[in-house]
Parts: sequence; structure tokens; C-alpha cells
Amino acid sequence: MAVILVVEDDEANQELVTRFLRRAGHRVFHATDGMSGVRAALEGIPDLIVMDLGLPGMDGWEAARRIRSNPATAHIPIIALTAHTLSEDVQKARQAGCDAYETKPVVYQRLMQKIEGFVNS
Amino acid sequence: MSGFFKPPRRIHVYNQIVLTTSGILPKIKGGAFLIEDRAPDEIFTAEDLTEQHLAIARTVDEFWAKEVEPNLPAILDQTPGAALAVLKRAAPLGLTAISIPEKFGGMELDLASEVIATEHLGRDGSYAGWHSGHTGIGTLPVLYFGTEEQKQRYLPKLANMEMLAAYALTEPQAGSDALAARTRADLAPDGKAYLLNGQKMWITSGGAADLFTVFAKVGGEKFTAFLVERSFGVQSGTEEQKMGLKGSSTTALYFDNVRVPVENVLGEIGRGHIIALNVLNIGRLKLAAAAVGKAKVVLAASLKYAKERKAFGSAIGEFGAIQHKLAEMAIRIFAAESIAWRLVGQIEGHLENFSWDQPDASQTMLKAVEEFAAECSMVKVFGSEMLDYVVDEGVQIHGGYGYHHDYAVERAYRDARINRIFEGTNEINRLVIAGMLLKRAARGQLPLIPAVQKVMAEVLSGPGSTDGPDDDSRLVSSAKKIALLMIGLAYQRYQDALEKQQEVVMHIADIVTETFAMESVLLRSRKLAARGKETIARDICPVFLRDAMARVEISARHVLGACSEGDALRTNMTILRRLARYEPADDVMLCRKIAGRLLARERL
Repeated sequence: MAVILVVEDDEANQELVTRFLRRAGHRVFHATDGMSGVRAALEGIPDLIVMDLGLPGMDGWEAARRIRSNPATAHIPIIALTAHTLSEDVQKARQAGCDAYETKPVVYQRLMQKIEGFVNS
Repeated sequence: MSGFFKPPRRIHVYNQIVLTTSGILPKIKGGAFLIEDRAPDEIFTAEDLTEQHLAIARTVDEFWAKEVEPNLPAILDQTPGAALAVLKRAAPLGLTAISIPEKFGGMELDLASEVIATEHLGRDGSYAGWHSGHTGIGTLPVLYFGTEEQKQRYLPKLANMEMLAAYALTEPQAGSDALAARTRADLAPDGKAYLLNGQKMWITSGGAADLFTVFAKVGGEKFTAFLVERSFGVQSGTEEQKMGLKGSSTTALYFDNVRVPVENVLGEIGRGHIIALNVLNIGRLKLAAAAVGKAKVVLAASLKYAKERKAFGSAIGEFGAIQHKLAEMAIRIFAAESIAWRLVGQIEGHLENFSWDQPDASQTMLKAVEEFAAECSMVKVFGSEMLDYVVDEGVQIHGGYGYHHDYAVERAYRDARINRIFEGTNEINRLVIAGMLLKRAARGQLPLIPAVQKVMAEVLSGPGSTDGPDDDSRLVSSAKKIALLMIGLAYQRYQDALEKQQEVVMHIADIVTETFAMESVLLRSRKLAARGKETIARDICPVFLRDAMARVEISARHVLGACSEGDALRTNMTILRRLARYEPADDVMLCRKIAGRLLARERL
């Protein structure tokens, strides 16, 4: 069981990913924009972050950069969720500090395997 | 705020989960499509599925590719434990628990999620039999009719695949007439259990299931459902040697003084038929979805083959004869898909703000489904007959190879046939369609009689509005009028004895079902056009509407022949000909266009 922060502004996406994570036995807490995501990561120190990139206000790339640049949260694996499939977007996510990514609509089997991979390592 | 415009969204709240659909889904009554007109935005279509639904579809596809496909040979060979092992790997992903409330270990997603998963799992009937048999008719009786204690005891185990569930209704002497069951349940002398004695037949997953919903007559009279664990003493027969679905388990079950605790009575004693019928309603919708999923796979395989196979120096897909088949397959799949998703939307329209935490949640869900019992039968009949057509043409396109075991279309052909038999034969379902509409009219739930009277008065007064432009809308409007006229004439002729005139009733069911499909295809086509999407629907719609009207007219002639004679028959035939008249579309050109797009995409 891991503690996972889901940063996602779309209510339906947030709820669905949460259901999958809870079913797999994980504990989940949420943020709905980049700024609150950075704050939640610092306050909750989760085992892993699932981060939507297209967030309102501070976007997911910037939030990932800030989480990486803070020593207290720099170690937390980040899996990005993105509607962008272009290789430059993926590259941008990696440069921002994301460890892996999944494109939307999310294939949950792949996402869960990645999560298990990070949680178990 | 995002700068993107989002259309108004109707939000379906399922215990805080939110799956959204664009547009507004009105709360309409079952059968109302015959007497009311709807706008394109008032029906749900496959294109309204949300990102979350598509995520579930993609997850199922990935599960299929990674887990099912590599094990399909073992599943089809009935290698012991092969199918069950795959099914157990679906559990951690939640794919065995989509409909189950979170408090019982499920995902608690909406009906559309369950249906899209069913469609995507439908690509092989054998595995689908294991999976959907468990999540559908296996699990739903507990979910809908179980007490809180029964739900707590069984649903978490069903969600996690600690138990495999099955549904045991049919008996050697009681198939379509399920209430003629001979399996009986007698209260044990200590009053703490019922003793079950009898036999069930054709039970999906019968060789492996751990929990059965068994229907038996208490004291030989009161038809009742019981939750029966295999460990109570249920014995399975040997695996049946079937025409198709070779990889699914189908056996008889034997009960010899099987002691079932009184706590395991499901629902009320003597009310088992309520459970049997309601569970079948959802089963029929899911069967239609699975048929659409399977038909799409067969069409894709046929398109690929038609592009690769050469004859007379060309790919056979370049010939008009083959293009016509490919187009017609796509047209019927499109129509079946249109009515299935429209029905999902209609049911969801009755489930706004639904939550499994509500005290009467099961009743709310059951009422929403029961409202559309006739439509559930329509999509089952239409979907299963569409699939039979598609697999038949799929074999034909493959030529001799289509008759060979090495080609998946051969298996699809054999697997498809059972769909017209289980979940209620199509004959029973046709009787249900007409029977339910008349019953709803008699109960005052559907104002069918005033609508019939209005149409009768209108057509007898002269040509009227049917002389207008011969457009697609008029075809749908005329089909509705024909359906109402036939119902009215048949009822006038036979009154309460109509149900005994099964041939007439079945023709009426066909007219009604075609009408539902016609309107659904038209509205979906218009909805897509309004969204500015250049889709295949524009070409499909005129072909389907005219072909369907031709079928409606033939069925109506049969009804008229049985219900009127002499001058009345001649008058009625004049009215029918006027209503059923249409200018032919250039369907040769339209089907070539449809086929051209299909061949380029290699899918619908």
C-alpha cells in the first residue's frame, strides 16, 4: 500500500484514477491545480505523484519542476498524465522531472503497472 | 479557468464519482419513442462516451492484448484453469467489479462503463462467456436483490474473484417457460435450511463457479431464488460439447438434498420471477453490446482479407459485390450500436444523482431498467441477428478460408449462433417487446391508445402530411405511424386474445424494433452532422432507412393479412403503401462510398 497524490483538475478523471488506485489498495489524496499540488506534495510527502500536465494556473510541468527542485520532495516519483502525444511534449515532461508518463485516455493497466513498479522499487 | 469551451455537461453522480455526458438526457418513458419525437441531442450515442469511458475501453483492450489473447488457445482448448486464471488477473484492475459499489470492493462506475467494457470484451465469445457471465447474470442478482448481509458476504468475493458466480435458471424441461421449473426447495425439519432437489441445464461457468443463483420452487409451488455455494453440495455434469463457445464452460448442475441456509433465500419467496426477468433485462443489453464488439472485429478481419485477397488480378475489396457486403455489415453494426447506446442513455436518464448509498438504490436501479424492458429485448434481438448476418457475410468474404478452423471468422460464425437462443430466445424476446408495450398501455404508463386513435383518424382522413418531401424524417415518421396502426388493428381484431396470435405479435415486434433502429440511426446521423463531423453516418443513414422501411412494409402486410379482409384490407393496404412509399436512394453508390472508407480505415 502506498500513499499517492493525484493532481488533476478534471473531476471525473480525478475520481476515476482514484477508484483504480483505491481498488489496488493505495491511499489517495488530491490537488486540483499546480500550485496546490506542490503544496500538497510538501505537506503530505506521498510515495508517488500522478500529475496531469494540463492544469489551470500553474501547469503540471512547472509543478513537477518545483517538486523536483525542493529537497523535501525531490525524491518522489512523478507519473505524468498528458493528452499530448508529441515526442517534444514527452521530452518536456521528462525535463521537468517526470519519471514516466501516460497519455489520455489513460490505459489503467499500464498506469497501474508503472505505479507498482515505482512503489515496489 | 481553461480557455477551452466546453459544452453544457450533464453530470452523473455515482456516489461522488462523476462520469459526464455532453448534452441533456431527458427522462423519458419506456416505449415512448413510438409516440414522441426526439431531437438529436436528446439521445445518447457512442460518440458521447467520455474520456473516462474511453479510458476503460482502452484498459480492456490492453488487458485483452496482454492477458487474454496470449492465453486464447488454452482457453479454447478448455485447458483446466486457463480461463479462470485470466479472469482472476482482471480483478486487480477492477474489470470484474465495474458495477459493484465501492463499499463492497467494487469500482461503482456507471452503466455506460459496464457496457463499453462488455463491448470490448465481446471480441471472443468464449472468454466473454466467463467474464460477462460472472459480472452480469452471476453478480447482478446479489447486487440488485441481496440483503445488506448477503451483499457484504458475497460482493467483495465476487469483485476480487475469490468466488466465480453463475446463474442457474434453465432446466431440461423448462427453457423458455422458466416458471415450469421442477427443481424444488423444501424447508428442512429444523427450519434452518431448504433442501434443494433437481437439475439445471446449460449453465454458463457451471463447471467452475463457486456461487450460483438457483431458481427452485418452495414446496413445489413458489418460484424462488437462492444463493447456493458449490460447497453446499452442488454437483456439476460433464462439459457440454457445443457448436460454438468451445472455450466457455457449460454444464448441467445436480442438486441432491443440497442444504441451503434460509439466510440464502434471495429476494422474497414466490417472487423469483422478478429476479429472473430483471436480471435478464440487463443481460439483454449487455448481449447486444457484446454482439456489436464481436461484429466490429469480424468486419475488421473481413476488410483486411478483402484488401489482401486477389482474384482476377485485383483485391476482392475492389469488386462491387464484396463492397456491398462490407457496407451492409457496417450499416447493420452502426444501427445496432445506435440503439444499444441510446438505450444506455435512456436508462441513465432515470439515474440522475443515483447513489448506491441511498436506501432504495437497488429499487431505483431496477425500476430504471425495467422501464425499458421492451427496448432491452429490442436491442437483444436486433444485435444478435445483426451479428449472425455479419459473421455469415464474413465467412462468405473469406471464401473457402472462412470455412477453415485456422481463420477466426469460422469460430465467430459458430460462436454467434447461441446469441439468438440465450438470454431468452429471440422468439420469446419478440413476444416480450409487443407484450410489454401493450401491458404498459393497459396500465396507463404509455398513452399508446390515444396515439393509435390519432394516427387512425389521420390516415383515414386522406393523404395528409405523408405527401410531403420524401426525406429521411418522413420515413421515420411513417414507420411510427405504421407501427401504431398495426398495433391498433391487431388489437381491434384480437383484443385480449392477441397474445395468442404469436405470428402477428412477432411481426409487430419486428416493425417496432425497426422503427426504434430507424429513428436512432437518423438522430445519431444528424447529431454527428451538427457537430460538423464528416462521418460514414451520412451515407449509412439513407441506405438503412430505406432498407428498414422495406422490411417494415413486409411485416405490416403480414399483420394486415391476418387482421383484416375484403374492403377493409384493401383500404388498409392503400394506407400502408402510401406510408411506406419512398424514393430509392442510390444505394449502389452509397455502399461503394461506405466500403471505400471502411477499406481505407480497416474498421468501422
